[in-house]
Amino acid sequence: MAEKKKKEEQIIAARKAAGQYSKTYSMFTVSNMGVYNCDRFYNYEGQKNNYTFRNGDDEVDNYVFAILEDNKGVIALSSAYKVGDVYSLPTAEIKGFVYTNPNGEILASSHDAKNANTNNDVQLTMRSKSLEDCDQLQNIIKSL
Amino acid sequence: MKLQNIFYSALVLAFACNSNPTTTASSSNEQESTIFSKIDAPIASISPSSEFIQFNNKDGNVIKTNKGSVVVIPKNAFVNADGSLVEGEVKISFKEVFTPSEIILSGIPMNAKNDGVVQPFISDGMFSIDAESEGNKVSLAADKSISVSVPSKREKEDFDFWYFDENIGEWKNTGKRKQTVAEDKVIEFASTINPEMTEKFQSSLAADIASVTTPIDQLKSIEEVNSLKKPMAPAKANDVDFVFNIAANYKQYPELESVKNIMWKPFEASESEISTLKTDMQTKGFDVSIVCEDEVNQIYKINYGSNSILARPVFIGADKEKAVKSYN
Repeated sequence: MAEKKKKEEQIIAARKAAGQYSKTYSMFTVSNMGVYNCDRFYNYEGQKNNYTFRNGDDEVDNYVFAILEDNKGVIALSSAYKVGDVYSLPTAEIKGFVYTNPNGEILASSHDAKNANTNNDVQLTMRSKSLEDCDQLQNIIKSL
Repeated sequence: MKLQNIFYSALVLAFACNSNPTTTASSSNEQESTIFSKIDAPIASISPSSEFIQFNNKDGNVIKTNKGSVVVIPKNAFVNADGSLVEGEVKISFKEVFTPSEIILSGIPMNAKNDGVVQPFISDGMFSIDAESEGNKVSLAADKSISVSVPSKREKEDFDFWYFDENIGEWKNTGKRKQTVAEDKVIEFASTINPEMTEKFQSSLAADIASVTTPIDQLKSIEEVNSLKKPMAPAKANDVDFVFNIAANYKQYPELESVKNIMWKPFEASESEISTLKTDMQTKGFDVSIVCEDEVNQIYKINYGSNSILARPVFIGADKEKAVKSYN
């Protein structure tokens, strides 16, 4: 029994060394097949500014995502965030924007919170003409 | 697309309510009306990859996924559509959605009602799970449940558990996450649900580690012998580095062609050079060319528009391991 325990400890130590060990887990109990999430609501009480998004001369609307600082979350922009014709967004919290289109193109823009204005017209630029996988998009997000 | 438009319309009212009090007068009833959402991947051909877990229903299973989740399936957990016990193999499809890119590409709605107002979610781990036997969907027996332990990055924050009910297009809160648990507790719990498979799981974990560490040790010794002659090995970007990607045609650069998802880390660049790069990336489209300045130290000059910057290729996550493989 002591030998088994020692072996388990060796396994955990090796995992830690290999960087494959997660310190803690959220434990779900699944009673139905489907989608499960460990979430909290994103509450923001600070300054919000107005944003519109462009691909060249065209205004884009759906499938624009605001990436929050420290990769802590993603806001999928929809009419829900619009006040009139513009999106009202938490300026200080956003590191950049990503736009995806069905052709697999990815456009993006970094966001400079310090120099943001009350009204911001964000020009999205091409980052990938043919997205290959999730990792490639994650790299684009990291570069914002 | 039509359903999506209905969803957006409903959300307009909800958020207008939150951000602009003057617009709330007529919206309260409408806010309570149907808020329908669905899983809608923005790029149909690309979504977070699934892992498949196959096992005999009479045995159940305990596995650790490539991204670190532990799935514990009890014996005789699954039943057919008519309620009869599944005799034979069950295949579970398990998809983890952890990173912002995976959240975006999964198309899973990330909003829910909070005191009647729709608000966005911050996630500490999301997954989808599905099961079939001989091509037919199967479900969990009424007295059975699967335990899924997902690695936590935000162990000290308050989170709730949610289940997305695709029939009505809404998230259902299933309770508060009281605390996260350590791996030894996860395994201890697994052994109470399925002791035989937990023991097999621990044995396979040991074999897995042995197979992972041996090539890395060999690689280190090879690096030591050849370090003076070979170009430096692909480097990993760390969390604090500024890195950027460029939409270059890497097929023009034979030494870079074989690696994927290259990111670039500025090399000995001044703050103003980095600032110019950031501004240009944000505001301009530009032609890019890459020139190898120092092959051994992996320093490249990246020309963009009328500017240039020295940079080294770096890789993130699994891409680094792929790059190392290609490098060898």
